[in-house]
Amino acid sequence: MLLTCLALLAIASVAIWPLRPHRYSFAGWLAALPPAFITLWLITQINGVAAGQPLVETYAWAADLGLELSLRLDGLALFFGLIIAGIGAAVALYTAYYLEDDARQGYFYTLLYLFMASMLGLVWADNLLLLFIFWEGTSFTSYLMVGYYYEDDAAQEGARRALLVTGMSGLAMLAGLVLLGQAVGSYSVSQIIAAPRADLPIYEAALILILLGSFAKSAQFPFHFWLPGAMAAPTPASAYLHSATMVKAGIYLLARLHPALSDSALWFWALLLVGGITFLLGAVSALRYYDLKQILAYATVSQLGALVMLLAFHTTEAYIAVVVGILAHALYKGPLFMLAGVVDHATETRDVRHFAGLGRMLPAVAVITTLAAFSMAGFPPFFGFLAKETLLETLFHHAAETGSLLGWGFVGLAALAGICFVAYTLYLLYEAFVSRESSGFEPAVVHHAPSWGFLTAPLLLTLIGTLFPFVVGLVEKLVLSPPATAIAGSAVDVHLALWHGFTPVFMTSLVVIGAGILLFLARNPVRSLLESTPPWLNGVYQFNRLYKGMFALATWTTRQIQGGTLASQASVVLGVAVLMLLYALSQLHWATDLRIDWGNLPHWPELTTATLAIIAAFVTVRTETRLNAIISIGVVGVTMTLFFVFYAAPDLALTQLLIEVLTVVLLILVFHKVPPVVRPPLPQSVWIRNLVVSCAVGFLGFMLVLISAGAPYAPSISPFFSLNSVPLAHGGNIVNVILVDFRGFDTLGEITVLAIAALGGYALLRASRLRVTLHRGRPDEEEQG
Amino acid sequence: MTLSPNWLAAPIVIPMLTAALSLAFTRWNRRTAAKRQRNLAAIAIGLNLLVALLLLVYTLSGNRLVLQMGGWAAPFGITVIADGLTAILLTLTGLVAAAMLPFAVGTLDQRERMSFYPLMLFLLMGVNGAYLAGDLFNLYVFFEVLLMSSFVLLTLGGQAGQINGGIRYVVLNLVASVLFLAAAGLAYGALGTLNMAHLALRIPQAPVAVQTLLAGLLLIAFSSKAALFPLFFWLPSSYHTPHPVVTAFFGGLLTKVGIYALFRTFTLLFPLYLVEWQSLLLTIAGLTMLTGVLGALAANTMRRVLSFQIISQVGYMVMGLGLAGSSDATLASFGMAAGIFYLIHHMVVEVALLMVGGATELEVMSGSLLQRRLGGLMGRRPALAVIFFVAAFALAGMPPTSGFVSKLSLLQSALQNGNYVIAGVSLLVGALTLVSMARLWQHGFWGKATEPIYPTAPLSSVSGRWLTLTPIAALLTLSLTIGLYSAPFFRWSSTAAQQVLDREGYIQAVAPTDEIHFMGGEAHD
Repeated sequence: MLLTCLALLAIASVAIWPLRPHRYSFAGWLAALPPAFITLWLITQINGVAAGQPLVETYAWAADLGLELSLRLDGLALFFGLIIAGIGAAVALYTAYYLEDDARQGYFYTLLYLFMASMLGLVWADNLLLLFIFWEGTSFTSYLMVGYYYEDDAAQEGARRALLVTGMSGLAMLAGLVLLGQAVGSYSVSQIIAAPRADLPIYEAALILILLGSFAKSAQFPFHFWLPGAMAAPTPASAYLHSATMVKAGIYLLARLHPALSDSALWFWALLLVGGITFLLGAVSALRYYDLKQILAYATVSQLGALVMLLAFHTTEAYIAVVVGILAHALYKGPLFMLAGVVDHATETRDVRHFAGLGRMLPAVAVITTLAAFSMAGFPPFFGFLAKETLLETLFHHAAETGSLLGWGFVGLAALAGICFVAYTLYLLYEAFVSRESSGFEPAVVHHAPSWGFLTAPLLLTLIGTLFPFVVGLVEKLVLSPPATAIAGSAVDVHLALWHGFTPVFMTSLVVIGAGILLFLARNPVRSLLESTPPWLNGVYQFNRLYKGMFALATWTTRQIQGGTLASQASVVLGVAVLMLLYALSQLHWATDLRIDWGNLPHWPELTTATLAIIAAFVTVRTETRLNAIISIGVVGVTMTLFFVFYAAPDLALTQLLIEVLTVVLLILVFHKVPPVVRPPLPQSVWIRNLVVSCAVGFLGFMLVLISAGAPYAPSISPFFSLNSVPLAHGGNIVNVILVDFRGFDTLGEITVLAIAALGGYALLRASRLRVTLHRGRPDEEEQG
Repeated sequence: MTLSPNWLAAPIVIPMLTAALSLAFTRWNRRTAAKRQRNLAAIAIGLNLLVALLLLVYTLSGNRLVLQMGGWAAPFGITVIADGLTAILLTLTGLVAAAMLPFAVGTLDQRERMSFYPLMLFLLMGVNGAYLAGDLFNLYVFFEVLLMSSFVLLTLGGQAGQINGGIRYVVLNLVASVLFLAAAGLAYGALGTLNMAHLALRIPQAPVAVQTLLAGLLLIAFSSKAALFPLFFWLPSSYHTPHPVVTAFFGGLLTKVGIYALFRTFTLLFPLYLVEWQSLLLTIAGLTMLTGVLGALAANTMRRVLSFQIISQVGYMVMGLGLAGSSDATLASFGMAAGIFYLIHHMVVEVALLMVGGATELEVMSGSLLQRRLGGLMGRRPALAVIFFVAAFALAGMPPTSGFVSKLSLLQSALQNGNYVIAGVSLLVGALTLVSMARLWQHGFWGKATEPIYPTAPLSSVSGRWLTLTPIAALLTLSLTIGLYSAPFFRWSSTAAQQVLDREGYIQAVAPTDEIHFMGGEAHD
């Protein structure tokens, strides 16, 4: 059934694009059906899973590669599945209104379903490699969704950044997962988390690589910058991928592997520090922006940091805080993004400075937003309050237990971040709905009020979030305990209540709210302070520098390697061959390995001919006129022919002579028509290089001949040919028999080469005569080879 | 199952005879000439593919098929031999040719009439012959056939850019060929034979220096053919100059012959050097991947980017060969299998990507990434966009395409061997490939449309759309199939890898003899 769910989404994704849903007003309600169905089915599974009976489905894939299509629905997988499918249904409904009359709506739905399937697969996968496959699936669908408005430069850049940061770190993570799987001897997640793995020899390396992937995906410092850039996506994608689900994939993986990997100081400090920095950084940064989606994006970054920080701990409070935090965040941040989209849709701006008294123009939007935003700020008795309480409790507990200054420091950090949460929530609500003046900007006008259908999705999610704290006692055993148990690796019993009495945690909450209100009042000086930070502190700035630097490096290396002349490139190839020769010669035992018969040295006819050949070769290269060069090439050829004569091979000599004569005649005929070219003299460095390369190649040829010419190290097969040429092949001329019979197949190939060469020559001649008009690239984009 | 060894001649003879026959229809001024040649090529390519599949089925059940040409026993005649690796490559080559034919019909300009199809068949003959060769000099001959036919295809049309690129192509390749020929001469001079099985038996008898020289010369010659660092100059100088059909055809076939020759010679002739030179091979692989992908980032036209990507990808296959140099037999076999698996993936995806990249270029008659001439094709050509996206990111290793599983197998092999550096390099290069593919995609399909679609662009007509896009879609479907049903494909790669590493089996199948007898007897006189 788990696989069926994924298949259902895959089929829906293929089917919906060609149906062109933007033509139908009810499209959203239909589009919400598949995820709604999955949500309902998951709800029916809650009881069984909570009772400790996970649903397991396993299909064979490629065992040699460790790939197995195994899905496992345990407490954590079900919890995430509910969020993904439930919010997915809401987003699917919302999308049709947000993208009404947009011809690309079907395309968006295709991506949405594909993403949903990947995300569900990611949390259900019980095989590390399968998990990674779905992980990449979310990266690629996210890339395309951020680039949905592809004409827009910001969308293109945001998409690229998101893909590169998550995709590249994903590859690092893959290495970590493979290391882990190989060390454990299985890629099965349930087997890996069955025991602590901190004593594996590759533990540190694997952990660092996996953390890299998780941190980047979940927008942790220093990778956080891609998330605000991804806000160029259509708002349904922002609400769904970039707040409720995909960015929690990193959190999910950390939670999933918590039982196996968390038992080390490296884990604790990495998560605590990175999460803590991100928590505070995101919260403070949110104060700086005017764009609704930017504010919400930084708030998300901050919340993700808090979750990572919580996963550092091993206490029951921490596990509970993580689960509550994830759910609360999904239930308030999703609707807030959707509402930002509603406002954007109605007024065509998201810049809060343009809004003046929007609350009276869009009262319903204002009410729902306030409910969701109060949860974000952590006001009692909203869900966010519960999340903040559990978070503070974890930190208090840790600080009290260790008694360290650092422990209390993290309590302070959380309080500081909480103050920022309160401040930007109030700021957002005030500027958007309450404030009557548009701070000097052109006031936004409501072009068309949102229909109720548009508001249904955020309203539903907000209501669930608002009511949740009041019914928490009824559902906590079923919804919150199983995932907390899965993270802990042992049974965790969640017990939540809104009211614990005047505990230190509650008092801290009150102080935070009070201080948050003060910070809200002092927002302008704080903002100008934040705006005065230097640009190099910005992640995007550093990323762009890195990106440009990479291209500069690429261009430089490529020019170094590929930019040379033909002669220099050929020199490299030949030079490598000479180096190899020198290496081989270093292994040579000159006395024994060379089997030269030194008594049988060349006589004067050979020596004279060879000298003649060398002189002619020099003339060919050094002469000024072409005719001289051609003639001296002919001389070289004739001397070669003489060698065949010396060694009693008249037929070869004849053939060679014919070829040489033909070559000379043809060359003269061809070059007769070509005007003379005066070449500038070569620069001295090039001249010297050519000289060195020529001598070295000459040496290479000489050594090869020297080694080949000696007695062979194994008996040659050539006697076979002389023995059997007449009796078996019925030919008296051995060379001919070899050419046409023993090795006739080679000859077939060689004459084919000649035919092709003739065809090529003909083609070149015809092409220039026919003056064909070929498709051609524009001349201005011809590059140097 | 028994199969007549004569089938081995078919992949060479079918294209050759058809090409020769279709030359009779050369009429450069008439469209009908191309039509007849096209039909003949279709028949030949279809038959060739069928024979290749037959050989594939036969060899992957663990058999080798050996044909002694002219009935002359090895090592005196010429041996033609097929094992799993050969058959896999013959099949892939056949598939590429089959995909290329409709694509050529859909996109070619007047160059179609300039004997394009006969040349394509000659190239096919050369490539098939190289895979089948069991004799070092015969391998050289088929290298010549494919070099000459590819050179003519490269310059077909005679544009200035083509001639420039063609000269670099032919000169640098001839240098490599000369080194190959020198090695063959050395082998014959020092060891008295050219038959590869026979050489495999005799090489240990030569002094170490001579073995090194032979191994080194072949390594350099084949590395240059395979476009490995630092010998790949010819490829980026020439691949972007001919018609996109030609580029795609080359991208699928040429460098793989060099890779095959490396796989074959180092496993069969120089098994000790495979172990001894493991770090050298892995270094070459890593540098090839890196310089290739950096070149792809530096290049500014669609096809130049893709040409450099070929180089980068070839490095992965050499990585597989390097990992096969592990001293542990199981790990070595897994590394070799991963290399072959990567080769399968690469031939399918690279060709598809070069085809779709070429089709994209033909839409706006420009491949420039600098002047924003490309762009905005997503809205105007959605089918092309989907295909391009899948092809580009399959190359970058996006699951569930074959790109992911093949990269995964290499990564697993490298990590298991403890070759962490090459594993890291392969991942880094994977990441940079992602950058370069995202760049191509965004330049081509996102952004605002500034340039009108070229009036005679292949995708403007219904038939052109079908002819151009269907073969690419088919190749990508195959890539997805390899990704989703990886088990059988990897098993086949493993079978082929075990066969390649089984030297004794190869030598026994060829059965070269050292005995030289006078075989005439009285019967003749």
